[in-house]
Amino acid sequence: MKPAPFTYFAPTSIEETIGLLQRYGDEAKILAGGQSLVPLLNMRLARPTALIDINRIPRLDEIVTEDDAIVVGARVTERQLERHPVVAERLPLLVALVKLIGHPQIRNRGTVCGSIAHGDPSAELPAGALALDATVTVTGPTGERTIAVDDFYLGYLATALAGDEMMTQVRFPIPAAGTGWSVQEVARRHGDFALVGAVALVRVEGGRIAATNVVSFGTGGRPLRFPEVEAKLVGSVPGEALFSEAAEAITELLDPDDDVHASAAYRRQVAGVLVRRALEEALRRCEGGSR
Amino acid sequence: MTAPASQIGLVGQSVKRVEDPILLTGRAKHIDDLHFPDMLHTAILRSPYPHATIVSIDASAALALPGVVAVLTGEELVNHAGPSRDYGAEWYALAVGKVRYVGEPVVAVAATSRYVAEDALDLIDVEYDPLPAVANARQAIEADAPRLYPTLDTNIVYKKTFSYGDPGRALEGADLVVTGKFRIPRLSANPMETAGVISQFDPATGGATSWSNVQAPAVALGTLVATLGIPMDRARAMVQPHGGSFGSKIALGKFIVITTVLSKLCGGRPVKYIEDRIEHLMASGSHAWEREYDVGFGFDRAGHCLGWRMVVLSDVGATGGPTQTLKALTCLVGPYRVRDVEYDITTAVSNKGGDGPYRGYGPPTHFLVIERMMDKAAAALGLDPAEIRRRNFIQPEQFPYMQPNGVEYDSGNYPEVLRVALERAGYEELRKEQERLRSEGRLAGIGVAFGVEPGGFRGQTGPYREWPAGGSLAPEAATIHLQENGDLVVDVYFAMEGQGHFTFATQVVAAYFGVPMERVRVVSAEPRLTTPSTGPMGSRQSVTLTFALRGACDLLREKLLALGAHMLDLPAEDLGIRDGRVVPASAEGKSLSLGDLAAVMHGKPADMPVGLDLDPSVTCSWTAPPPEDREGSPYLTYANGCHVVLLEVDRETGQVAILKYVIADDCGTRLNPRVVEGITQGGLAQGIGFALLEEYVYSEDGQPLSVSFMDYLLPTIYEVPLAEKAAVVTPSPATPYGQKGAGEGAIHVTPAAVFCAVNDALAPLGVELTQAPASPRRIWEAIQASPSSG
Ligand SMILES: Cc1cc2nc3c(=O)[nH]c(=O)nc-3n(C[C@H](O)[C@H](O)[C@H](O)COP(=O)(O)OP(=O)(O)OC[C@H]3O[C@@H](n4cnc5c(N)ncnc54)[C@H](O)[C@@H]3O)c2cc1C
Repeated sequence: MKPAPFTYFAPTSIEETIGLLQRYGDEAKILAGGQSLVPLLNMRLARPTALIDINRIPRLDEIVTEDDAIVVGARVTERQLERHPVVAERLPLLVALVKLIGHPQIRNRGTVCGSIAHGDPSAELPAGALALDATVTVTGPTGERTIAVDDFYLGYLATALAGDEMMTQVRFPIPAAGTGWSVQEVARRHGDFALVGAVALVRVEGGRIAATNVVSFGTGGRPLRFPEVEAKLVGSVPGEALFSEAAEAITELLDPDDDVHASAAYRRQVAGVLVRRALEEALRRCEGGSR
Repeated sequence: MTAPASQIGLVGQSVKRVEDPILLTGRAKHIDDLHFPDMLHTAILRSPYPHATIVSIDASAALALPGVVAVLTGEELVNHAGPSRDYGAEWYALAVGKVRYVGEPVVAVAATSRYVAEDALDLIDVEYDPLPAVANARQAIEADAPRLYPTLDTNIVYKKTFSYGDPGRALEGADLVVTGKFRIPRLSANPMETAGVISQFDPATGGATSWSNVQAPAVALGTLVATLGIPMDRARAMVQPHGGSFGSKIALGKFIVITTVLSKLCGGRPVKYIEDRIEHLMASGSHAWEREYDVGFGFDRAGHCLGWRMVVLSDVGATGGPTQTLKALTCLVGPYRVRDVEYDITTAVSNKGGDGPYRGYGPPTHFLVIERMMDKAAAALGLDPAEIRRRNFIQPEQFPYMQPNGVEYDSGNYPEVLRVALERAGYEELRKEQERLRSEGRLAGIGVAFGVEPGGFRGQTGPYREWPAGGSLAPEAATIHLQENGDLVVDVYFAMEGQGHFTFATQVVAAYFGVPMERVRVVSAEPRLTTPSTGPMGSRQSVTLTFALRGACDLLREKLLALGAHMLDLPAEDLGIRDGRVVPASAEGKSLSLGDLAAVMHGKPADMPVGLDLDPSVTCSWTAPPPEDREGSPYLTYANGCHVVLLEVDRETGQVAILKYVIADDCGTRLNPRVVEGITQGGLAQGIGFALLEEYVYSEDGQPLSVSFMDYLLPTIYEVPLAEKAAVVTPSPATPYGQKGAGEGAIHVTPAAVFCAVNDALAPLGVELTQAPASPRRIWEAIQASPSSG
C-alpha cells in the first residue's frame, strides 16, 4: 500500500497549475484533499507520474455568499462548508449533505470541489449539486468556462473536465424562498458512501407544487435527475399517492448495478422508497407545505 | 484455592488501568516504531489466482532495481525452512509449485524501503497456469472436486461425529421437532495494528532473533526452532506491545520465516515486514467461522429440550483445521440441561484465505444456532423466549455440572443472570413497547440470548486431544524481582495487548504484599524456551496468569520470611507479611520493611548464614493440573451472560436500528470491574460486527471481494450501542479469588441476541433470516419473500 513513484508539484497559481497540466497531460493528477485520490495511489489503482497539489494556490479557500448563491472555491473543505453559519441558514441542504460524508476527520481534509470533480455516483455532494442546479467553473489554457452539473457528469467517474483543465469553484444557487428540501440515504454504516440515496426540493404555491427537483444517487454511473417525473409533479396537489406514483415512475427508469453490499433489485426498489421519503420530508419543510 | 482475606485488598477494585497512559498517548513502542541500522523492508508478491500452477518466476528485473537487496521465492525458501503441517495438509511460507488462494505469498523482496520493495513487485514476472478452483466447502466435498493438497487424497481434513446419550431416540420421542439451516459468514479480527515482524539472522552463530507483535510468543520461538532449524539456545523472540490481536496475531510464523530467510540472504541485515490492511483482509490466515449448520432440536410439550442433532460443514479456506469448530464441544449444551446430543463436524479446505483464531474461537456461532432454535421452539409452543430458557437451564445446585461429553462446568447461577438481565431491561415494558410499535405497523424485535464462556484455557485436554498437539498443557509464567528499594518488578512473558493484564497483575501482587500499586511495575520480558509460558488466549490470563503470579509471590514470601526470621531472631512460622512489612504474628515488637530485606538481599553481607537464599528474583511457571482422566475440560472456568436487545427493522429498506441493549453477566469475582466492563463493551462491538456487518465475500470463482475497509465493514462507534451492564457474582471454586475468564463472553452472545431480535422483528411477516450478517439487502430479500409483503 505504497504509491508508485511520482513527481510532486505545489504550484502557487492557477496559471502555473494549467501549465503543469499541459506539460504532463493524462500523466498528471490534481491533489486537493486527497481523501479519494490517496487511497487510489496507495492501492496503485492510479499511477500518475505528476501530482499537482493545489493547496498553495491563494484565494481558492473562500466561501462567497452572494444574494442568490453560495460559491465555493476549490480548496474549501467539506468541514468549512458544514460549519459556515450563512450556509447553515440559507442553504441547510448543503450542510445536511456534507454531514453524511464520512467522519469529521475526512471532512477536515476532503474538499467540496474534489468530491464534485471526482464524481463518485454514490457521493452526496454531486447529487446535491445536481438537485440544486449548481454550476462548476473550470479553467484551462484558453480561459474559463462554466458548466451545469447536469452536463458535467458524463458517466461512471467521467466528467466534462478536460485533461488540461482544473475546477476552480462550484456555485450552488439558493432555491426560491419557502422551498423545502430533503436528503435520504441508506448506507451500511454511519458515514459510508450511500448504497442508494435521494435528494428532493419542493416548493408549494396555492396548495400545488410550483417547483420540484428530484435526484437519485447510487443507482447509476452518475447522479440522476428525472425531468419528466418532475414535470408531472409540478401543478399537482402534493400528497402520499402522488409521491408514491412519482417514486414508482422513477423506479421504472433505473438500472442500477450489483455489488457486495446490495443487489440491483434492492437498489432499484429502495431508490423509489427514498425518493418518496425525500419528497414527503421536503414537503414537510416547505413553507405552506405542512398539512 | 481461595486467597486469604489479607491478600485481597486491591483485587476487585476498579483501579485505573496502568496500560492506559502509554497506549492512549501513543508512547508504546509498537513493532513499526522499531528502526535498526541497515534495516531492510519487505514487500510480498501475492497470488492473483485462487488455484494455479506456478510455471515460472522471473525476478531479474526486480533484482536489478536500485535498492533491492534480495528476492526470495518458494523454491529457494525450502532450502532454509521446513513446511507447516495441519491435519495432513502441508505448505510453506511462500508458495512452492502452486498457489492455493488469492493473496498467498509467492515472492518476497527485501529492499532499502517499503516503497522500493513494492516497486520491485511490479517488475516480477510470474507465469501461472490456472487450475479449477474449489470455491466453498460444498464443492470441496464432492467426489470429483479438484484437490488442494497432494498429501491428502480428499479436501476433507477432518470428519467426526460426536454423539452422547441417544439423540435419535430423543428426537423420535419428542412432541415437537424444530429444524433449521444456518449460514455463517467468514469474518476475522481486524485490530488497528496489523501483523509485523523484524528478523535478524546472525551469520556468526547461526542464531536468529525476531521482534514481532505475535500474540503467543511460544509460536514465534517454535517457528525459529522447528521450522527454521535455529539452535534452541540461539533463538530469540522479542515481543512488542500490540495494537490489538484478538487471535489474529497468533499465527505469524510465515512472516517470521520469510524475514529470517531474507535476513540470512542479506548477510544478517535486519529485515522488517509490516502487513498492510489489504494483505490482512485478504490473507491474514485468520479468517474464521465460515460454516453451514443443519440442525434438529426436540422438545416436549412443556418446552423442555430433549436432545438435538447438529451437522456442521465448515470451510477453512486453504489452510486450517477443525479446532475452532471443536471448541463447541467444550460448551456443547450451552446453559441447558440437555443430555442427548450429537455434533457432527466436517471440515474442508477450499481455495480461499486460510482459517485462524478469532476471539471466542468458535462458540459464537454455536450459541447463535442454539439460541435461535430455542426461540423457534418457544414460538411453536406459545412460550415466551425467556420462559423456555428458564425451563431448560442447568440449575445452580447442579454445579459442578458434568456435560454429557464429560466436560465439566465449574459454577454458575443461570436463572439469576436471566432474572437480572430481564429486570434491568424492563422486559415486560419492553414487550409492551414492542406491541405498541407493531400496532403502528413497525417491525420491532426483542432478543433474549444466553451463552457460557469457557475461560482459563489450560491446554489441549478433553475434546482438544483431537488437536495436532493434543494432550499438551499450557503453562504460564511470571517472575518477580525485589528491587533494592523494596519495590517489586514483575516480568510477564507476553506483550502488552491492552486487555488490562498488566493492571490486574499489579493489583494481585500489590495486594499480596500489601503495598500500594505504585510500588509494583509489570513489564514484558523476553520470552524464553527455558521459562515455559503461553501468553493470552482462550480467556485465560485472569486465571492462569494469576496462578503464576501468586506462585511467584509465594516463593518470594518464603524467602522473605526466612530472611526476616534470621534478622528478627524469631521462627519463620511466627511471621507474616502485612502492609509491605514482615511482621510477627503477634503484631508486636520489631518488624522489617520490604526495603530493609531487599537491602540485605542486594548487599549480601558476609555474616549471613550459609544456605539462606538471598536471590531477590523468583519465577513460577504454573501449569494447571490436567483433569484426572485427561478427558475433562480444557477450561478451568465457565462465565456466562444474558443479553437483551430491542431493535427495529425498517420494513422498506431492511435497515436495523438498535434501540436498547442490556447485558447481565457472571464472570465470578471481578478482579477489576471497570476492566471487565471495557472488554464486555469491546466484545459487544465485535458481536455487532458479526451480526450486522462483517463478511468476507468471495466471487463464485474464488476471488476475494472484501479487500478494503470500504467492503469489509467494521462497526464504528455509531453502530455499537453502549450497553447497560449488570453483574451477578458466583465465585468460581477453581480460582484464588473466585474469578473466571471474561475476555470472550460478550462476543459469544451478541450475535445470537441480535439475530434472535431481527427474527423476532420479522416474525409477524412469517419470514425468517437464516444467514448472517443481517444486512439490509438480506433482510429486504426476506421481507420480499413474505406472503404479506404484497
Ligand atoms: C473513509 C472515507 C469515507 C468517505 N466517505 C464519503 C462519503 O460518505 N460520501 C462522499 O461523498 N465521500 C466520501 N469520502 C470521499 C471524500 O468526500 C473525498 O474528500 C472527496 O470525494 C474528494 O475530495 P478531495 O478533496 O479529498 O479530493 P482528492 O482525493 O484530492 O481528489 C479526488 C479526485 O478529484 C480530482 N480533483 C480534486 N480537486 C480537483 C480540482 N479542483 N480540479 C480538478 N480535479 C480535481 C483529483 O485529481 C482526483 O482525481 C470518503 C473518504 C474517505 C477516506
